[in-house]
Amino acid sequence: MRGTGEPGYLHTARGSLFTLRHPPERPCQGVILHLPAFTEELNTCRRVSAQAARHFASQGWWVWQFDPTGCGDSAGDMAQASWQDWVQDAQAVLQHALREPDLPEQAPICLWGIRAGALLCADVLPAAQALAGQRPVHLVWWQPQLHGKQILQQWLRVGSAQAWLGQTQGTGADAAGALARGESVCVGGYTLSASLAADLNAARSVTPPPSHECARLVWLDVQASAEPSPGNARLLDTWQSQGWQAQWEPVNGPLFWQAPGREDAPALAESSLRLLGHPSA
Amino acid sequence: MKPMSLLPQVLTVLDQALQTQGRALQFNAQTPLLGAVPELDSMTAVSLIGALESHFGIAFDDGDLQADAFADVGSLCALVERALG
Repeated sequence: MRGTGEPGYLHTARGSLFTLRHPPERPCQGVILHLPAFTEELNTCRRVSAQAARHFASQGWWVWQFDPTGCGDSAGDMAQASWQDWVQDAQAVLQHALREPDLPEQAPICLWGIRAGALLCADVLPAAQALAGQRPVHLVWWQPQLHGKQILQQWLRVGSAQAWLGQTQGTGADAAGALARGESVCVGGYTLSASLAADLNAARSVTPPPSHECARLVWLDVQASAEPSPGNARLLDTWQSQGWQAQWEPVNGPLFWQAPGREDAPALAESSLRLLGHPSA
Repeated sequence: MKPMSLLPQVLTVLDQALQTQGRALQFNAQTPLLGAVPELDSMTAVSLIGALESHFGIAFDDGDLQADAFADVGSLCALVERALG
């Protein structure tokens, strides 16, 4: 299920974090830290992210994956987790990753976020830039969700959708009401605390931190149309205006975050490396 | 807009959101959805609703999102028509 990669545990103030470390199979190009998708999407994206991690490693990148506190195989209970816990988890893994002895001094760092992981990237970025020192920090986003409020709404809707399809009772309005009263809710098998919901409602990537000179933002959306949506186009402009080399491309492929698929999506990883300016093999 | 003229657009969004590989483009207003289309589950239903909102520039009232809205293609079109005002 996990594929290749060396499993391990990193001990943090929040408990043990499950990590997967993929050493580079060629002279080292840099470090990629994966920031995963949220709740059920963490599972539906596993196959595609595992394939991509293997591809990146085969092209010379150190790739680190982890399960955030309260998720997957990491310690803790999602009902007690906060968005800030997850930001600190990512910082801890990056700090650990930068201790690899054979990592060249100027080798870049990439924060690779899928879906809600992209919002986590944006929040981790300032700390990553501080840890990076002279190294460039690039961003790679796949089908990003950059508004916490929207992430929360979509997730509550999954619970409602089970009711629409006659699988459960209750509605999203019930869940939203419970959260507003400070109660936790259980939706689609995941327990969300009122405080994590509040964190999400507040989390929104609006002001990108200024970039180092050559920092790239690689943004891939799985879609047929050749242009980004108006909302995404505005976001790309905002990042560009802060000095980021923002590159958006549509990719043909399965909507991999919707269901645990059996289809491959090699174009995502290949395009990511191409747009990062990775020298071709 | 009358419900029937929404049909081609709704089918296009349905095909993309559920990834039916063109099958949904052959549906008509009577084609059953709930329980009949295997790709329709809670996650793709959320994606479908989001895609309809995005395509038509509307926001559905959560109260309108009930099982009967997903009964067939016609009821889905009616849902969109109501949100279009």
